[in-house]
Amino acid sequence: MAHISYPFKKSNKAVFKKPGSAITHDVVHWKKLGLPVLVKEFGAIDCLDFSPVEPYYFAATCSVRIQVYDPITKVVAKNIAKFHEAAYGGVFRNDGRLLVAGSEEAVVKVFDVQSKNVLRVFSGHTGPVHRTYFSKDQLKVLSLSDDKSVCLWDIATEEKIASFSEHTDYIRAGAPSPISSDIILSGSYDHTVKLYDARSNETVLTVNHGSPVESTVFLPSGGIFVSAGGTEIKVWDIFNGGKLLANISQHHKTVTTLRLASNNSRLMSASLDRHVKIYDLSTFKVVHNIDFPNAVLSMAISENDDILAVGMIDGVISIRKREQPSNLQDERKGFYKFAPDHTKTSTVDVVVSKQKGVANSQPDKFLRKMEYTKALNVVLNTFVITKFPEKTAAIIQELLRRKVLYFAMSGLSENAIGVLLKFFKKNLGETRFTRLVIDAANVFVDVFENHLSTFSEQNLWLYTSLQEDIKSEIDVCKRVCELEGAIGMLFSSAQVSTTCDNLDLYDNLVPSTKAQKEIIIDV
Amino acid sequence: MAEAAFSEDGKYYSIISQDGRLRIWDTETNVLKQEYTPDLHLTSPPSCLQWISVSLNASPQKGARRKSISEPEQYCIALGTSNGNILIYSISEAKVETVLNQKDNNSKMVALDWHRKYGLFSCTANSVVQEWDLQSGKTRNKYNVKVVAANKQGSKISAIRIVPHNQDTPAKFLITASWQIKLWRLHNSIAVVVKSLGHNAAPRALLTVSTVNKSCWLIEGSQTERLLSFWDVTITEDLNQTNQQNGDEVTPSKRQRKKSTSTPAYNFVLEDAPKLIHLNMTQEENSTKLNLAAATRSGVVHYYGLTLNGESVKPIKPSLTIQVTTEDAQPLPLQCCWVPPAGDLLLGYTSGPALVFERLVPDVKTKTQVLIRGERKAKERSTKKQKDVATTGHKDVNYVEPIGGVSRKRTTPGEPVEVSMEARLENLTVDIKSRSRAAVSHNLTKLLMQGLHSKDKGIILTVLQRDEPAVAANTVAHLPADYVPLLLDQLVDMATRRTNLCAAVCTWLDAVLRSHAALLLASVNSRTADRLSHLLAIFTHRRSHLCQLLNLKGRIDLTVTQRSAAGEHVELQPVLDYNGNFCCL
Repeated sequence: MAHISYPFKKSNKAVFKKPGSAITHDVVHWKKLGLPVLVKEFGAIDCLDFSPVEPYYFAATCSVRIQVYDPITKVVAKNIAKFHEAAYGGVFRNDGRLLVAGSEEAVVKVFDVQSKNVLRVFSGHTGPVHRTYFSKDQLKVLSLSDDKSVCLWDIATEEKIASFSEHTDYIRAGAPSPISSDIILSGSYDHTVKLYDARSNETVLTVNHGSPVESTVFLPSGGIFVSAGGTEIKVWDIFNGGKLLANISQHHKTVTTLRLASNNSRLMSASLDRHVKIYDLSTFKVVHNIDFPNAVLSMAISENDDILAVGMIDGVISIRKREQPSNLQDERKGFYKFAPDHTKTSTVDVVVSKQKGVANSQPDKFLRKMEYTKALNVVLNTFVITKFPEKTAAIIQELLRRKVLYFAMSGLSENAIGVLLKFFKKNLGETRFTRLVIDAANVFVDVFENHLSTFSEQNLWLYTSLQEDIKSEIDVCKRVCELEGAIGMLFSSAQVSTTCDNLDLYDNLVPSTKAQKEIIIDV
Repeated sequence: MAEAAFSEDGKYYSIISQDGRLRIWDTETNVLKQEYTPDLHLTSPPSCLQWISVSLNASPQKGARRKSISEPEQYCIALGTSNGNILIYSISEAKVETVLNQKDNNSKMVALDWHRKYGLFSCTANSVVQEWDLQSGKTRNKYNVKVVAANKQGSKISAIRIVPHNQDTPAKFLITASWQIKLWRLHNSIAVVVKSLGHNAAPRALLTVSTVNKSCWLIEGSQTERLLSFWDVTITEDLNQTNQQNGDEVTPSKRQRKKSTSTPAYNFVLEDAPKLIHLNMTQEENSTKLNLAAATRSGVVHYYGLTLNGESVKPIKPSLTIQVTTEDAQPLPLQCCWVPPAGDLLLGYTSGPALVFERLVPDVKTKTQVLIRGERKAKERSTKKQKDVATTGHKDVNYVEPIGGVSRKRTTPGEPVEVSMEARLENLTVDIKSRSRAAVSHNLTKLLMQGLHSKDKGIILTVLQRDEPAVAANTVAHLPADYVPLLLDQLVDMATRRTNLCAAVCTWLDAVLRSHAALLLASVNSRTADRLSHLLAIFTHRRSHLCQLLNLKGRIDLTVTQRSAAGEHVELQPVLDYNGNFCCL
C-alpha cells in the first residue's frame, strides 16, 4: 500500500481518446437502430409504407406486385400481385386494412390487405399513376398521374370527385392535407408544387421549387409543407402565401423521398447519393446521417422510430429494427398547467437544493428587536433598490406578514418615502415583485392618503408617475390577455391535428362490380 | 511543304483549305482577296504551296530572271497537287498561268521550295527531287534522294528546303526531312548526303531556313513534338570538298563530325505542336539577333527573342505567349504569325468565318499577352449609334495578365473621363430622408439575427425595444425560420421584466404569431412549445394581478383627485367653528 503522502496515481487514458464528433441525443437515438437485414426483391423499390396499426407490417411496391412484409420476422406476409404492369406507390389506410396503389396501366386499385381482394378500381387516367394516397377522412383516394392530372376519387361510389390538370409535366409527388380532407398537394416535374381545394375546384397556391419535384410531405399541423427535388429540400409556409421558410441543401444527388420521424419533430430525406439524413424541424439543421450501400429510392419509418425500412435501386430492402423501445417522451418537463394536453410531463418540477445557514443581516437584527421602521429604513436606499431589489422586497414581505408595514411606513422620513416610491415604480412591472408592490402600495395609500399635501414636490411627482405606471401596466395586462388567447388557440389547433379521427369500421369489405370483373392470374 | 504560308513581304497569306480550295487573304485590309478552286480539287487536291515571284516580262530567256530583281515582279503561288502537277497561280491575274507536269511519273507532290537564285524545287512522294525551269515548264534536273531506312514509312520525305550558299560551285544544297533530316548536295543529277541533322519525331515536319551574312540556319519542328530545333547549316568549304572526294558514301570522318553537329544549337519549347513558324534574323553590330514566332495547334503564338551566343542544351522558353479572346473569355484561336523585319509581329486569328490580321509590338516585359477582341459586328453597330465614342479594334485593347493581374485599360483620347470628385462626394453623403422604410427593417432583421446569433444583449435590446407594430411585423417577416426559437427565448426572458419591456414583448410576439404561425404550429412537439407554454404561464401570472391593479389605481386616483380638490379649497373658511369646553370628570 502506498504511503499516504504519495497516493497512487491512476493511469490517464483520456488524453489518447480520439477526438470524435460530439455525441448528441439524436446520435444516440439513431445509433440504436440495429444492424440492417437485407431482403432482395425484383426491380427497384418504388415505394415503402408502414401500416399504422400493430403489428406494423410494411408494404413494398416493386415491379408488378406489392409485398407486405412482417418487420419482426422479415418475411413476406402477403403478396398482392394483381397488376398487369408495374405497380407504383402502395400506401396503407390509417386503419391498416386497406391498401391503395397506382400502376403503369393507368388505373388505381384498392385492396383488402387481409384477403388480398381487389375492392375498387378507379379508371379514368390516361397515363401511369405513380403516387396514390387516402385522404384525411379516409373516404377518398388521391391519385397523381403522368397524364399531368390529379384526381380525387370517392371510395364508396367509385366515382371521380375532382380532377385538376394544371401541371405541364409528369406528376410524381403529392400529399393529402393532414387537417382537411379537401386540400391536396401535388408536385410535378415542371418544377412547381400546387395546392388545390377540392371544395372550390381551384388552385389555392403555386410555388416554384426550381427543379423537378420528387417528393412532398405535409407537416402534421397542415400549415407547412416540404418539397424535395434535385439536390434541395424546401420548406414552404402556406399561411403566409407560400413563403419559403428554409432551403435545405445537404445532398449531392437527387433527393427521392421525404418522411417525418420521431413524433413529427424530425424530417428524414433519402437520396440517390446513398445517404439518409435526419433534420431537426425547428432549426432545419442536420442532426444525423445514415449511409446505405446503394442509391436510395424509397424509405419508410414506423411509429416511435422502431423500424427503418429503406428501398434501394437494385431491389434490396434494408430493414433496421431498434433494439430497445425508444423513450422519446421522457425529455419533457415543466409547465404542465399550460402545456397542451397531449404532452406528457415528468412528475418533478424543480429540485430545491438545501440552503446553507447565513449570518443574520442588519435588517434581520432590527426585525428581531421589532424596530420595524429602522429595518425598513436600512433597505430603503438607492443602492439597495437598484442592485438588490430582492432584499427590499423580502423585508417588505416580512413586514406585511407580521402586519406591521403600516407602522413601519408611518415612521419613514421624507427621503425614505421617495426611495420607497421609486422602488414601487421600478418593480411594478417585474412579475416576481408585482403582487408585493401592489400590496405595499395599498398600505402606502392607507398611511399617506391624508399626508399627500405635506409631500415634497419630488415625492408628489413620483406618486403621480406611479399612477401613470399602473395605468400602463393595466394596458399591458390587457394586451397580454389578448396574446394569451392567441397562444391558446395555437395550442388547441395543434392538438386537434394530432388526434386520430375515429372511423367507424365496417366489417363487410365488398368488392365493387367493376372490381369483381378484374381478374388477374398470378403466374 | 506548307499548307499555309505568307508571301515574302507578308502582304498576303495563303491557305489551302480542307476542301482543296486556295484562299488568299490580304493581311493589311483583312479581306479575303481571292479564292481559287483548282480543277479536280476533290479528287486531286493541292497538297503543298509555295510563294514564288516571277518577272512580268514573260521572256523565254533564262538569264532574264536573274536580272529582273530590280524589275517589277509579280507574285505567284506554286501549288503541288496530289496527281503530280504543279500549278503556277498568278495573284494579279487571278488565274493559273502555267501547269508544270511530270512526264514520266505522276506520284504525289509532297513539298515545294523556291529560291530566287536556285529556282523551284519539288519533291514527290517517291523521293524524287526535281529542279524546274519555270520559263519552259520543263524539268531541268532530277535527283533521287531516297534514303534506305529500316521501315518503309521512314523514308518518306515530308519537307524540303533549299540552303543558299556562297561557295563558288554550281552545286546546290537541299535539306530534306523524313524521319531523319539530311543535308544533300545536288550536282549533275547526283544527290549526295552531306550531313545528317538528327531525327524528326513525326512523318510531317516544318522547316524554315534563314540566312544572315554567310551563315545559314534551320528551324525544324515536327507536327507531334512540342519542341523546335535550331540547327546551323552553313555550307562550308570543307563540306563541299570532302563530298566531292568521297562520293555518296558516308565516311567515318564525317560520322565524327556528325557527332559534333547532331545536337541542335538551340531548342525552343512550345505549348503545343507547331502549326506555322517564321524566323527572322538580323545582324546587329557583331551579334546575330533571332526573332522567332511559332503558331501552335492550340491557337496561341509564341514569340522568342534571342541573341545567338554559342550553343545551349537547355530548352529556351518563349519570351512571350500571345492569346486572343473575346470579352466573354471565348478564345479566338491564332492561326498564323509572321515576323516582319521591322520588329513587330503580324498575327492572324479566326473570328467567326473570317481571318483577322493584326500587327502587334511584342511586349516582352510580361510572359503572356492576352488580346481582348470583341465581336466586331456588335461594335460597329454601337459606333453607328454613338458617334462620339470612337471604337476601333486597336484602341480598346485590354491587356489582362492571367495570374492575379489587374486589367489595364488604355485610355483613349475620345473616352469620357472618370467620375468627377463632386459626384464622388455626392455618393458618399448619407441621405437619411430618402431611406426607405423597408430597407431599415431589413437592416433591423440583420441586426436581430446578429444579436440572436451572438447572444449579445445590447444588440437584441436595441432591436426589441422598438415598440412599433409596423417595424416589428416587417422585421419578423424577414427573419429566417431557424432564428424564431432563439427570438422566443429572448421574449420569454423579457416578458417577466419591466412594464415597457413587456409591452415591447407583446408587440413582437404579436408579430411572430402573425408571420410564423405555421412554423409554431408545426413545432408544437419540440422545444418551441416549451417556450410558448412558458410565455403563456408568464402572461397568465401577469394578468392575474389585473384586478388588484385596477383596485389600486382607483384608490390612487381618488387620493390624487382629493388632493387636487383640496388644493382648490384651500382658501375656504370653515363652515362651523366649534369651540367646546372640555369637562374633566
